[in-house]
Amino acid sequence: MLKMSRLLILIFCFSLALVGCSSGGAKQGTTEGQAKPQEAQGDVRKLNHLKGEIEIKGTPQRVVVLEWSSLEDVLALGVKPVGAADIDGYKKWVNIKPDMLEGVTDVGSRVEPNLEIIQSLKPDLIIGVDRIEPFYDKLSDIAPTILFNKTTEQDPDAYAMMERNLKLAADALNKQVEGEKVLKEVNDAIAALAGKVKEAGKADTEFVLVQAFTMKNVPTMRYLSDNSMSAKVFNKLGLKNAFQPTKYVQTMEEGGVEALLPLKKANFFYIVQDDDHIFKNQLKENPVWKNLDFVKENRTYAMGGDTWLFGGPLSAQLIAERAVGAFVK
Amino acid sequence: MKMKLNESGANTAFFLYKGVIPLAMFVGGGLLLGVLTIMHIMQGAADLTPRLVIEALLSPQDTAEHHVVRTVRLPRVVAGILAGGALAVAGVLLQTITRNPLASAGTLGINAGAQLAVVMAGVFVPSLLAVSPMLVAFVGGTVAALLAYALAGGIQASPLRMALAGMIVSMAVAAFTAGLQLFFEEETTGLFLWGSGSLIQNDWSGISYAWPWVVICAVAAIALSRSLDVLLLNEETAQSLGQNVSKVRFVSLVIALVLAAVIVSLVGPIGFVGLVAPHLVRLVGIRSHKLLIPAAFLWGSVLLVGADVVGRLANNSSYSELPVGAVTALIGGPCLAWLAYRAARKHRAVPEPFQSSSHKKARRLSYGGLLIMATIGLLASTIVGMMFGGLKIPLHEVLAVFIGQGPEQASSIILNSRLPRMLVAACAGAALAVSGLLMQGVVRNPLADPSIIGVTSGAGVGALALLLVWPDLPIALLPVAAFAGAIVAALIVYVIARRTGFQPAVIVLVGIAVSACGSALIQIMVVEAKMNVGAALAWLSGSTYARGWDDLVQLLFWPAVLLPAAWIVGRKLDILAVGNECATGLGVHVVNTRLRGAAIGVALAAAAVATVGTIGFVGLIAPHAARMLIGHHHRKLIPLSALIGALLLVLADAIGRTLMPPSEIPSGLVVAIIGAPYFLWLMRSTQK
Repeated sequence: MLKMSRLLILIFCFSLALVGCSSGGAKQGTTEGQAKPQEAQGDVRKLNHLKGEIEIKGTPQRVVVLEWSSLEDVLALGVKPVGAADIDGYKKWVNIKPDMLEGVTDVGSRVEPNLEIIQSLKPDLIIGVDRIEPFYDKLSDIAPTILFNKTTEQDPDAYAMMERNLKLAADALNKQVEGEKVLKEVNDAIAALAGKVKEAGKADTEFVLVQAFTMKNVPTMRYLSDNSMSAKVFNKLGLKNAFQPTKYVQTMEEGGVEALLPLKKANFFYIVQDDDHIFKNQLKENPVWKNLDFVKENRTYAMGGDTWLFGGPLSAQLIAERAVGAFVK
Repeated sequence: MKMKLNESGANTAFFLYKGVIPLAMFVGGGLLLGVLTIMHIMQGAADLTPRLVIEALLSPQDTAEHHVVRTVRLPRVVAGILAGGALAVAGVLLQTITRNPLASAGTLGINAGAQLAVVMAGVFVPSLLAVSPMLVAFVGGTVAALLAYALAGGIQASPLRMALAGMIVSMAVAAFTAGLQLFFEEETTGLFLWGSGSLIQNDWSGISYAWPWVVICAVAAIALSRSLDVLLLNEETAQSLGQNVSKVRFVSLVIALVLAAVIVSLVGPIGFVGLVAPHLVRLVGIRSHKLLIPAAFLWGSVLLVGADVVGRLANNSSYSELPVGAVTALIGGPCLAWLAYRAARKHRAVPEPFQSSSHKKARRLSYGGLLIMATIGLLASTIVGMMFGGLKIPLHEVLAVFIGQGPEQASSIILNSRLPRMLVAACAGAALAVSGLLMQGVVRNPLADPSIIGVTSGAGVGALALLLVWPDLPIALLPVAAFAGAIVAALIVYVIARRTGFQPAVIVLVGIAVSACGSALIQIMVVEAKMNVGAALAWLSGSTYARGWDDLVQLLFWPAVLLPAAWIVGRKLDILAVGNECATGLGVHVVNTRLRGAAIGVALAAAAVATVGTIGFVGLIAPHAARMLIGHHHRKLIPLSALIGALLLVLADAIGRTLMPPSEIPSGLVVAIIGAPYFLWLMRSTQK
C-alpha cells in the first residue's frame, strides 16, 4: 500500500508539473503556538564530537535525532525526542523501544532531513552522524548539533566507538548516570550469555555472520568483519570470526555464495528478511550451498530480520541474545 | 545522406589480404576468447588452484569446490560470452537498418529504457518481474527506442540527430530511474550495481533462460544477412532488387530489441560493446553480413569477457569488483571519440541544419511584454514558493516578513531557508539555460545541452574524486572540485574538436564519449568507496536542498559576469546559424566566435553544477521554450531563456519541497520529470 501511495504521489507530481501549477501543501505543523523550551538551569559541559569541541548547557528538553543509531541511544537513555528521521524505517529495521516513538514527529529522510520541520520543532539539541556533515552549519543555526564520532582505519573498533557515542549522547542529554547504567547492563548481559556459550562447550568455535538479500536475482551476502560492532559482540560471546579479509575492512564485504567456500567449517549466523529469504528460495537447491559443511551439519542459525547490526547498545544486546538463543539450545 | 558503413578504414594494402583477414579475425578472436575464458574461470572470491579447476571441469565430484567452478564461475563466463555476442549482433543490426554508424542498444536508449522498466517492475509489481523479466525489459526498450526515433524526427534523421535523441531519452530515463532509486532505497539497493551491469550468476537458471533466445536471434540475423547486405545499398537499388525493405528492417529491429531485452534481464544494461565490436570487425574490411555477424558476436564476447577480467584484476584483494558495464564504458568512450574524430577527418564538415521548434510563431505578445510576463511569473512563483514547504506559511505572514513584521519562526524559515534556496535555484536555472542556449548556437544543434557536452558528468567526477581521494578536506571545497572537473571535461572535448576544426558533430560526439567515461568513473567511485549510495545519488541527481546565502554569494559572481558576456557574443552566434561560409563572408571569425560562446557556456554550466549538482534538462527546455516564443535572435533569447530557466528551477524547488513532506524530492528530479513529457510534446508540435 505504501508503494502504491508513493506511486500515486509520483503520478500526482507528474500531472501537477504538466499543468504548471504549484499548489498543494503540507500542514505538518503551524508556525504558531509552540511553547518556548524551558530554560534548564545547570552546568555547562564540554563534549568532543565529530566536529571537535562543543558546549552544551543544562538538560536538553527538545531533542531531534537524525539517524537510527543515535535514535536508539536516545531512547535507551529514556529520553523521548520531539523529532526523528525516517521513523517507519526505524520500526522496520531496528525496532528498539518503538513504543516510545508515539507522537514523535517524523522529520524526513536520514539523507536529507527536512530543515523547516526541524526548525519548527524548536529543538534545543540535534543529534546525528557524519552523513549530515555537509549541512552541519545549517543545523547548528537551529540548535546545538552533535555528530557521532566515526571509526577509522587507525581506530576501527566499532563496539568501543558505539560505547563512546552512547556516552557522548548521555553527556549531551545530561544523563551520564543512565548512560553508565545502560552500558553496564548491556555488557553484563553479554557476559552472562558468553557464560552460556562456554557452558555449552561452544566457546572458541568459529562463526560467520552475514546479512543476506537478493541482488539482481543473485543471492548476495554481506560478510561482517571483526571491526564491526556485531562481530565484536560475537567475540565477546567467545566466538571467533572465520571471515578474515586480507586488507582493512571497516564493516563488511559483499560477496556471493562462492565467498562462503573458505568459511564452510564455521557456524553460520544469518539475517534475512522473510520476503527475501534466499536460503529458502534461490539457494535451497544450489549444489554449492548444499555441499557446505555447515549446511550439511545443520549449523545455520537465523537471527531474525529486525536485528540491526549497526545500532547502539540495545541492538548489541539483542544480537547477543538472538545469537545465543539460536546457537545454544 | 548516405553513410559509408563498410569502409575499411585501413589502407588499400589490406585488400590484398582480403581472404586472409576474416580467417585471422575468427582464429585470433577464438584464441583470445579461449585465453580470456580460462583467466576468467580462475578468478573468484575463493582461492582455487588451477588443478582443482581443471578437475572440477573434467572429473566433476559432488564437493562444494567443484560446484563453485561449475555453477558459479562457468555460468558467469558463459553469461559474458552470450551478452557480449548478443549486444554486438544487436549493434550490427541497428547500425545497418538505421544506416547509422553510431547506433547500438546503448546509444539509442534501448538499454536505459529496458532498465527503467525492470526497476519500475521491481518496485511496483515484483510479481511481474518474477514471471518474465525479459518481457518487461522488451517493452521498456521498445518504448525508449520509439521515443528516440520520434525525438530524432523519424526516418529522415541524420545519424548524429538519432544518436543525440537516443542520448536524451537515456538521460530522461536515467533521471527517472535514479529518482526511483532515491525513493525506494530499500527496494532498489540491489539494483544499483545492476545499473552498471554485472555478469554475476549463481547458477545456470539465467543462462538456460537466455541462451535459446540469443541463439535463435543470432541464427535469424545470419539468415537475414543477404537482405541486410542489400539494405546497405541505397534504398532505390534495394527496392529494385526486389527487397521488401521495410519488412527486413522491421524483422531486424525486432531481433535487435529481443537481444537487448534478453541481455538486460540477464546482466543489466552494458553499453558500448554493441557499438565498438561491429566497428572493430568492419575496420579490417569484413563487409558481408554473413561474416560480419558471427565475427561481431565473437569479438563482442572477447570485449565483454575481457572487461570482466580487467574489472576483477583491478581489485583482486577484496570481494568487491568493478561493475563490468563501467569498464566497457571506460574502454568504449575513447573508442566513440576516436570514431567521431575519424569520421570527421574523412568527410569534412557536414553542416547540421539548425532545426528549431519555431515554425509557428504565434506571437500574441511583444518581446517586452514576454519579458515582463516571465519576470512576473518568476516573482509570483518565488512568493508562492515561500508559502509552501514542510510548513505552510500564509501569504500575509510572508508579506509581513518583508516589512520586518512577521512572526519570528516564519521570518527565520523564509529568510534563512526558503529565500536563499530559491535565489540559488533562480541563478542556477538562469545559468544553465543560457549555457544550453550558447551551446546550441555553437554546435548548431537544438539538442545540445551542458550534460551532453560532458560538462555535467565532469563536474560529478571532480566532486566525487574529492570525496574519495581526500575525504579529510573540508566539504566547502566540493564546488571547487566540481568546477575543476567540468573544466577538464570541456578541455578534453576542446582539444579533440580543435583538430577537426570544431565541427558540431564532433563536439557533440566527443562530449557524449566524455560523458560516458565520466559516468563510468562516477559509478566506479561509488562502488569502490562503498559510498553511501543515497547521499551520492542525491548529490548527483541535483538538489537545491539546504543551499544558503553563502552558496548564493559563491554562485552569483559567475552569472553576473558571464550573462552580459553571453549577450555580447549573442549577435555573432546569430550569424553563425546561416552557415560557415556566409558567416565568414559577413566578417565573423567562425572559430573564435564558437570558442568564446563555448567557453562562456561551459563556465556558466560549471558554476551551476558546482553549486546545485547535476541538474539536467534546464539547458534543453528553457532555450526551446524561448525560441518557440520569439524565434532565433540570440540577444533577445538570452534574457528570456535566463528568466524561463530561473522560473523552471524555482518551481522545481518549490514543488520538490511541497509534495511529500517531510521528504523532499530533489529539484533535479522534478525538472527531469517535467522535462521528459515536455520534450515529447515539443517533438510532436514541431512535426506538425
